Amino acid sequence: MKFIRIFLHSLSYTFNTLIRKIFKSIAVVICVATFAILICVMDYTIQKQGNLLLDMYEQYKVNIVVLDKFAENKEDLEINNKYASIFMQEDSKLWGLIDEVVIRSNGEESADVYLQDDTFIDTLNVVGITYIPEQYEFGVTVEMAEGYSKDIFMGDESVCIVPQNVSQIGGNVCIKQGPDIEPLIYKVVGTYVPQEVGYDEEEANFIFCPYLNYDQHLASTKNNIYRLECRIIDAQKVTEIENYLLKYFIAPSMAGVTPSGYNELKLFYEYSFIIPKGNLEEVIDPIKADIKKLKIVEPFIFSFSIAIGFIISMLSIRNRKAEFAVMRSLGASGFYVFFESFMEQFILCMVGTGIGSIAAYFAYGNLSGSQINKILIFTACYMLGAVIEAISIARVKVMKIMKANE
Amino acid sequence: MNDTNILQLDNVNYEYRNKYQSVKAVNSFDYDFKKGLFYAITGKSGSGKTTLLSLMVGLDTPSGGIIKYMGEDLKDMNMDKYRRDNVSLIYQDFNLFPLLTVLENVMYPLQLKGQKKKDIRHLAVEKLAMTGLDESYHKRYPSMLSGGEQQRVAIARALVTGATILLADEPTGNLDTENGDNIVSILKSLAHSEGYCVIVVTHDLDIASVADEVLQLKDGKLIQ
Repeated sequence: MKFIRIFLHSLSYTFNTLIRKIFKSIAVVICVATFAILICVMDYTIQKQGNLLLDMYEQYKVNIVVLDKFAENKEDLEINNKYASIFMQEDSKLWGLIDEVVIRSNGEESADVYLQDDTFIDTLNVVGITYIPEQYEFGVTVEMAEGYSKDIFMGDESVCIVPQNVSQIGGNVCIKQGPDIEPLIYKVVGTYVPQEVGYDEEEANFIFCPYLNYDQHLASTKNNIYRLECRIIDAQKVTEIENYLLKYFIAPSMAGVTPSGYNELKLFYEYSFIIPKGNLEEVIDPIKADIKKLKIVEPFIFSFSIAIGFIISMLSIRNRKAEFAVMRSLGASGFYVFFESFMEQFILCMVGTGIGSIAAYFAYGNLSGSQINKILIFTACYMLGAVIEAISIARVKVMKIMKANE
Repeated sequence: MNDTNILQLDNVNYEYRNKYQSVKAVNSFDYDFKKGLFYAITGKSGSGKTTLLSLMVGLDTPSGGIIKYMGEDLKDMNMDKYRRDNVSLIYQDFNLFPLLTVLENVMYPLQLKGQKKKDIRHLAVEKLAMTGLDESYHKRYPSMLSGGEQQRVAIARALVTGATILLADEPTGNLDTENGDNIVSILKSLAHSEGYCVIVVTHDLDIASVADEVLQLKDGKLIQ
């Protein structure tokens, strides 16, 4: 009970002091709250700019387009089939960084298509493809079987899309490329209605298979890639992807100058690539510059806030050395004096950071983990200042203070 | 031990040391202070008066010798408790708590002991009355009092703990002659009527002239 009464007396003295020095207390609370808000504002601004940057990156869909070694977009690039592995294999560094891979063959190989009962249907041009063919490119409007999507064309399954008059969806067709070649059975996962395309009014007459399957079974040459493009999922990775592609392709700036030796596929450097970024850099660079500036300023603001917190707590206690010395001379223990001086600063700091945090919460709708962490660090530093000074006050040489006071 | 001896200093030394030198602030001080007497310790500045005071009040420990309170070595006692219960210090500039009222200031040492507020109020009122401060002063803050009145409050605060030794460091140093004389007479009557051992450190020869015993210090040594 005695201890509790001493504890309560100490608290009552603390509150008494804070209330009777109300203007000083308010000043300290405002100062602490201001720094707490300042820390939140700084952190919020950096986060906001960061999010803006991410939004920008998300909005910008950047493609990779493979060109010939002079950086010209030739009609048929005749790219070696090994290049497909860079964009399509799971162990490639590009896996997960790109999507919408567009690889197709030129469609010049023809094959006889039969029903499974060996009834000849038609002779069609085979196109190995990694996507669902579109009207603007092939003059077809494809209807896919239920449960199948374009992803099926990223694999090597024996599936195909054929003209509607060749087979129904779900049926099977046999492909023969010559009298001595074993026929291959393909499941029909999509059909299309041939439409007239182009000015020569040629009718679409293709059988579309997954590129990898085509390359494995149907291609007549290794240099069978007609067109190669893809989309970068995260525009932030452009530089990383560019650097990786340089292992296989000629840099756009070096187009026309073929590097000597072989690339990582053990092939000559015969192709270049471009990543048309449009005005991405114009939009993103100012935001990046803003973030950089804020990140330079932030540690100073943060350190300054901490230093101020530290100094406020130290000065508040130090200015009352004589008062605490009298307590010691009246028989207060060192711990009592420590507790008394520390509690005042603890209460002021808690109220100040509390008000600052609430103000920031209402201003921004919530407080992020990073903001809370920084406020906690600020509070800890303020408290550290208070603890250091409270310890020194608890160990004060009473008579020295009294004589200095006189 | 003489039964009136309350504070015994036996060959007490105190040395200030720093990197370059050591100074003997108190040098082989031997003296027995008794209850009911009014002592004046005089000496020039730097003679060791205040150091001696801080040793007697337990705020410092001697580098040599023994200080005994009622026969018990201070080294064996809890110094905080000793200051709370047995000895009180009165300062030249009063050192009241500026944010507490007169009554709260006097009650403070007892609250520090963990006593109930309602139990100690009457004691504080009584001690204030002993120093001539009536109820009209109770709710005033120290800044609203004259120097003499503040020193009376400081004396009441020193008395309320039940301490038997009152140590005063230049208690009239900041007071005019009239107030100074009043304080001295209060301290003297506390020694003679109430049986306190009152030890005053002072430059003031007038105080020394009314003291029962005058101890003169020179370079930390008792010379008279």
